[in-house]
Amino acid sequence: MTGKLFFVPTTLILPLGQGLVRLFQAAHRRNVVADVSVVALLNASVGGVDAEEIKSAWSGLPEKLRLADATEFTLWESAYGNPDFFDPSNALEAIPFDAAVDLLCESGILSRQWPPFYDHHKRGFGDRFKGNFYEQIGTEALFNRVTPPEWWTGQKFEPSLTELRPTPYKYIEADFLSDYVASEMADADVLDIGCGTGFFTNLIAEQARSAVGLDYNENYLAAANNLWGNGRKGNLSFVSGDIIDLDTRGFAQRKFDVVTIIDTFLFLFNERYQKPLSDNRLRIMKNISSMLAEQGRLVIVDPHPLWLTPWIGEDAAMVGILTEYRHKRFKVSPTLEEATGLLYSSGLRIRRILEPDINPAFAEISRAAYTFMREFPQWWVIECELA
Amino acid sequence: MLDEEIHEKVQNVFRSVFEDPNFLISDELHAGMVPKWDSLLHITLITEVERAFSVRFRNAEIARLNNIGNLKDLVAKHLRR
Repeated sequence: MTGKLFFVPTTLILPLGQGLVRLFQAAHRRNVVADVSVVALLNASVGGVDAEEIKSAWSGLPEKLRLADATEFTLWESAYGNPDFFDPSNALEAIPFDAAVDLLCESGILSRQWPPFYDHHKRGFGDRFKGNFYEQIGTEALFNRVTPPEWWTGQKFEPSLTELRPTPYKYIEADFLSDYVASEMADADVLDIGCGTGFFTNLIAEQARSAVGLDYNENYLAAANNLWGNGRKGNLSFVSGDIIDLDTRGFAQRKFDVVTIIDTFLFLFNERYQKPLSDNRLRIMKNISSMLAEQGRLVIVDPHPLWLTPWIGEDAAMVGILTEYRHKRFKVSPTLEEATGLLYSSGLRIRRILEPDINPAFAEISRAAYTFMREFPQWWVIECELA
Repeated sequence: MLDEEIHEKVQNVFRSVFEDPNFLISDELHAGMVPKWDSLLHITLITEVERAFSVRFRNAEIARLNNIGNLKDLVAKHLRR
């Protein structure tokens, strides 16, 4: 091994007890569990150390380095179960010095160059822990042999698709919407854009005068029709349509008191994963505005800009670690400037912004997640009207 | 199984998944060369190749695949087990 090694200072070192430390590389969202002795190596490499020199110094120690990659993208179980992607259960292996250094470099904890190179770009389908949230879902979908549409519904709903899994979707989003629809949409004709399999459209129909779900995915719509039909009150319907090219002679001529966009607005800002939506976002928002009745409201329920923030801490006090905001390396929600700028350009005015709180019942499921989400909102709701 | 047989079977999978009866594969072919070959189709391709040969690749093996040549080698490796 030649050249120099440098400690990358965006690494957090967290003692785990029993002689172990967790090395969390926040910028890459990578985790390594190691013997506490690794700290000496990291300490020696602050500012740069000759690789050969430190290797010979190390060979005098009795043990090889015990080290394991503990990064795990656990969105399969819950989008919230493991927000910093830490799996402490990974078995520690004593590995040779060179292999240990390779793993530390691969995880972005050590670097062979200065300044360190923060490479977030996903190069191939199987390139794990690289790319944004959607791209990582693509890799995990491949490894688990499920398609992304199956993943989206699987992380949100029970297999029946008629009930939410016990996650913040249920304890924040659905709780908020149940109350909000009852108080704000009771006499409204509502259009729900990007309705998917229709869970929230049905929830709206329970309280509103009528609800129409719109989606371009025929499989989702078939499921929605099958699951909910015309709803308990007979006021629910589902329509197939692409919001980019709404036929303004037909359905799109209808006016609605309320248009909802639930967990879909953020897709308008993803240039790599949703390019047609991203390229046409102004047109889409203008199409949507044109379907609002004169006093109508657009209600956007979207993951909060704080969503997907990794955390550390313990049950009573969780701390969020902001690793990015303006540049979307991993996160996928728009910035405040992007979101409000698009609404302004589409002829809309913001009435108010709501930040739904989490139901205390969630503390029974995960005290840590509850503590974090009580402090840091996971969704924001933007209420707009025509300017 | 002969290399030629593996090639033909992999090619048949690609023809079926891409819905193109004339699709020709080469060892150098990779996703960047075929516009339709996106991440969703990639999942289908891997799953269908596994099904065609009754094998199951490991994640690390999938992660290392760069082109069709790699894929055929990986199939051959699994068939030898």
